[in-house]
Amino acid sequence: MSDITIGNEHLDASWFLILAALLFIIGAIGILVRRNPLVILVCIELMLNAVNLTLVTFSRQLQNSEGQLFALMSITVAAAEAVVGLGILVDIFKDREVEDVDELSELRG
Amino acid sequence: MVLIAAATYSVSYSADQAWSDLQQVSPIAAVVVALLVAMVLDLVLPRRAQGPVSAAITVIGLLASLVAALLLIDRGHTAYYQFAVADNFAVFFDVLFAVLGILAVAVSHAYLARRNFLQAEFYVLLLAATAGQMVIAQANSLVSIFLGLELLSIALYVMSGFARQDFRSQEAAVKYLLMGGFASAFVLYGMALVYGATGTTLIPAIAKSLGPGSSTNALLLLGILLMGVGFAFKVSAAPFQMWTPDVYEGAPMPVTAFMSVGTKAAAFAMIVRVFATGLPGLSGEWAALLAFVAAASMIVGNLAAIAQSSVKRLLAYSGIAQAGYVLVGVIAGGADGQASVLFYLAAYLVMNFGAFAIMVVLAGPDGDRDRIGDLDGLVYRNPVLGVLMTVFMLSLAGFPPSVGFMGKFFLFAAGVHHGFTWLVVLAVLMSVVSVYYYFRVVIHIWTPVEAAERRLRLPAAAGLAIVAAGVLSVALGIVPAALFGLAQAGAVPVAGLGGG
Amino acid sequence: MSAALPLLILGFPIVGAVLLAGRGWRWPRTLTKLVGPGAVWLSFLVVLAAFYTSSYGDFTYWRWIKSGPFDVPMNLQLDHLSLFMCLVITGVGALITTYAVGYMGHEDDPSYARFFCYMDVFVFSMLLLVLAGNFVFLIVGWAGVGLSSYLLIGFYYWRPSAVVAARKAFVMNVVGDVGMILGTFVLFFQVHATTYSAVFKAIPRQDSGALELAAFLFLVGAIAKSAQIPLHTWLPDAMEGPTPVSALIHAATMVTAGVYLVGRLHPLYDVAIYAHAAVALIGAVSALVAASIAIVQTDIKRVLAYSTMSQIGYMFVAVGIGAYSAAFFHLLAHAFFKALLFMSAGNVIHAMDDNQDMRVYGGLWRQLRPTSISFLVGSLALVGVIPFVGFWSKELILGSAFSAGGNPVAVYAWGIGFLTALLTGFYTGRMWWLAFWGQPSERRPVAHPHEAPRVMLVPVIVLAVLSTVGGFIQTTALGLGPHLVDDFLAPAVGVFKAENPFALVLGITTMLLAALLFLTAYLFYVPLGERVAGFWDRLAEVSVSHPRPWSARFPRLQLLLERKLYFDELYDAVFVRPLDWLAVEGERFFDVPVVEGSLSGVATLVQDSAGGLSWVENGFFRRYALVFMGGAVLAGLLLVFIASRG
Repeated sequence: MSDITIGNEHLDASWFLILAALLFIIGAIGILVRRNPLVILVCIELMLNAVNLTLVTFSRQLQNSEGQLFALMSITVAAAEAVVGLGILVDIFKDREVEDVDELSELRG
Repeated sequence: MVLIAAATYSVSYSADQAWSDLQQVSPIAAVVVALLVAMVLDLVLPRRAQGPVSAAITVIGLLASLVAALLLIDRGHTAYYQFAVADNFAVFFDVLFAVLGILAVAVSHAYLARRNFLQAEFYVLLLAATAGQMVIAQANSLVSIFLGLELLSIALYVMSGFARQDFRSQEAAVKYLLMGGFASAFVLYGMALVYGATGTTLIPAIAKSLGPGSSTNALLLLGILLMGVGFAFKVSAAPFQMWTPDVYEGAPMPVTAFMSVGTKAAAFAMIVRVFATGLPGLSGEWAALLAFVAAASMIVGNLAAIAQSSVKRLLAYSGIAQAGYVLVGVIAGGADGQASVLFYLAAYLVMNFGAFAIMVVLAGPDGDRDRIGDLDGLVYRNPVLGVLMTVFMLSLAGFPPSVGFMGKFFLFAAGVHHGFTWLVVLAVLMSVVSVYYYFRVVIHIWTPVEAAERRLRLPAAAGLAIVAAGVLSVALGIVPAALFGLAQAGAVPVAGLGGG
Repeated sequence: MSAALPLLILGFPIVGAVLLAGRGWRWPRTLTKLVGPGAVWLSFLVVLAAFYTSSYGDFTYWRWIKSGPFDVPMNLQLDHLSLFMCLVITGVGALITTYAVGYMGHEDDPSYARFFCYMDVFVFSMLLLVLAGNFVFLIVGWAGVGLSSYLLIGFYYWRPSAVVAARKAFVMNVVGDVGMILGTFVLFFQVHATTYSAVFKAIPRQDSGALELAAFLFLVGAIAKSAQIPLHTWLPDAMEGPTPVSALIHAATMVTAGVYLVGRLHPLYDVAIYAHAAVALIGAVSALVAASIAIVQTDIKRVLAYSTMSQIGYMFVAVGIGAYSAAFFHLLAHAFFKALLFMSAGNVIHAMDDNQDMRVYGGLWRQLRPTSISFLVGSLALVGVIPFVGFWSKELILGSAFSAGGNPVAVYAWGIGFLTALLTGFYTGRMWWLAFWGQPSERRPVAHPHEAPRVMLVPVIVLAVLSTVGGFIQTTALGLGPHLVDDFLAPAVGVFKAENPFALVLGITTMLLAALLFLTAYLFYVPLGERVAGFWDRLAEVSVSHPRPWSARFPRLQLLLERKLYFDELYDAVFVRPLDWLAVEGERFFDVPVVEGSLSGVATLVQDSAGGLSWVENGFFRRYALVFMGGAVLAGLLLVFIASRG
């Protein structure tokens, strides 16, 4: 069955998957075009959450709890990554205000 | 409203079962226990004692993990509802990572003191990263692979920025964090799609669910693509390698040494586990993807390395090229291909870590000395280091009778045996190019300098680790049979659907 | 017991090298003098012991690796051929290292020890190369001699020209090494064996295409190491190394490794007829080209270098037509007289304050009598004048080529070889008359040169004696007398059967013509006023009125020869410059901005966009992410392509 029932609404699962794919792509584009490292971090979180949506959709569709389990794990991991990421960024902001990620280009070649 | 059946798995979980499962992951458990102990002791001990004590705890934990892994040889099976496995493949990598961790402690101890870094925190992060690597090695499900991957990556993000006063180190951390997060999202999405296509995250079950129509399943193919891209990023294969030179250069030297071997080996464990074990029916597709990546890595890595003047960057590009060589073995597949991959990763551990370890010893209190000119006259300043660095370079270049030669031989032989001759020819040609830049390093080592009197003091632990790596680089090349036997034993995962 | 002999032969030089590398730079010089050449002498004694006890065999010491089809035993093969080579390497090597004790005397202690360390490494590698019983060890030795040659060419590392020369030699040799490795791969995948004995046993059952391929690949290795066309350009530049190095490595031993390789692999080349013919042709062409270039060189060592290349061309001709023992006889003879020539030249260079330009010598005959005599002996042997050793060996090769019936390549090779012999006479004469005869040049750096010390004279004299009488071990060139070399090598390389009824006539004719040209050079290169009055004067008046070099009358030809047929320029453009470009651009775009602090972002961006690689690796995160996405899209397209196909 590919229908997902929420309340009385029946929706085809592919809508959720398409929404997730769009969110993923928006996140990826955000990474390519935004300059502020904090926003880029948020974009990464967006991508991860898009995947979480995909996972739970599949889980509902397949009647199988592994996807939910995976999503829970992924949320935990994303939280940890956000904490560490913010920590690193705060650390670097203490030394200088980095508004553009391209200012971090001393390492190259 | 459908209640999702939790009854897929048995709900009863006996104490015996728990004990048996714990035994299967005992190498990881040992590392985690050491991590917790080190973290707690860090709070109660006086500051002076923190460094040595946490180093000792780390080494003890890693040794325990090593022993635990050795005890699991030929006795492993799946555990935790098949989410983990301790087959010989996993055990091989457990041993590799435990040895890597011990070597890393040995070379970083004096370095941390000299540069006045926080010591206990470093070891805790090192243990966390090692635990992540071992989780990847023992993972039998996409979920556990992702967990291990993130555990490893997050620890490494922090470690790259460990020199907090150094802006370059911070830059490395930010770049690694953002690129790594980006790549992780790809891997995760790929895994989600594979899960959607096959209905399971367990790797053996994925393999079982593949049928004749799988190769036209768009979800699976997209999943392979996204995972392949993410994995290629983790092994630093071109064209997903851009982070590697920057992060290697910016990160403190022991971190570079650790991650140059650690992430690469862990990522290869992941690739073999997911692709070769989980998706054997689609080997044509992922092999093509990896062949493209391998060819690009060998070309980009070797050509770019010629232009480098920083040893860290040179070795980073060399690592990109080496990833390409190892991919040849992965693509070849089969028992011999996988054995050659395992053999080469072990070889890479001794030779590449050895080379970085020597650079660790060269570092001064103010920072790393990694210009290629900093190696001038090394052999006159410290003959042992000079000769060993030469050995490591020759081994990386693949000169017989070093272990690097043997490793390349096995990889390329497997490649030819399985019909990837064009890739092997490219690999041989590019490894000839590589001689050019490895030799540049050797020339600098043997260039006499006026300041030859400036003798270099070698800390005992680091010296021991470097000498051990050097001896192994030659000895395993002359008598490779033992290691190759182990690699062959590890190459055929016993992971089945039964057990656990 | 006899199994220990090869290990001992190899052991002495490597132990010597390790000792010198470890402690040598702090030793008193006397100890270095003892250990450096001593190791080679001891090795020579062991070789002699093996020779007299006839300790032949294929000794397997341990199995290096056994895994499936891949089986490499660690074995050393001491047969007639490798013993013959060992005799040459250690015998001539011992004499030359002894000579070097005096020649390198000006160096400071660390450099002195470094020199002998490299020399011992070289001797070890060369012995390993000839004693190897399998292809893997052959490659180890092959790479080892390349490495030590590279180190020794760049010995005077403070001279930029030496560094450039060393790098050139290195690049050329790597080309050869690739050939060797690929050749070994081809053979391995054909026959699944790496030992000579196993491979040769399997050869008759193999597909000839693969064998030809392997033989051609090995030939690439051989011509790179032996400086044959088209991979020869490194050899003349290699003369940047100290003269004993030129004598040992770039004349007597290493450069003949290609000849050894073809001889060692003769079961392969006997089957792979096209590759075999190519050996002879390349040898003949190299011999002629090198001899013609030698005519216009002014640096005495460069003349000798081109002459070496030319003489190795003869050896290639011999192995190329299957006359293996003739080739090895010439190898022996060449080791004697070329080492002699180099060492005498070394004495001259030493006396002339390191000036190597022959045009500024002149008149050394009266001041450096022993050296001059030695040089004359070497020259006559090179020209091939009876009874010197070069006559017997060279005429044997020419005779074999002439009489190899049914082999059209051999006849062409003979023709070219004959021409080369004449040119050899001329350029040798030019060298001899210019440097030693006539009046001292006004530009000569030292007016009253001193003869070399005894330690440098004795080895020279020993070699002079050997070059004089050495030929009598095999006089079959004239169709008569003993044939000890043939007999000795017969078990290893077989016997070359060719009846040559004209041997005597041809041999004598070639010799006479070459000798005549040697004398003719006198007319061209000794100015009229300085000639010793007599017969030649009168002849000169009727034949030549210009003291100018003959080649000055053909400016185009002279330019072509002086530019060495433009090989250097060609290779520079193809190999060296791209690598340099990469390194230089790398310096400019990556290193300079990093090292010299951060440039302003815009300027860097503009600069960086210039190069492809720097465009990618410019340090900007967003660029990395873009390339990442681009790579993913590429990979996706590839996957779609694969999926759509099947």
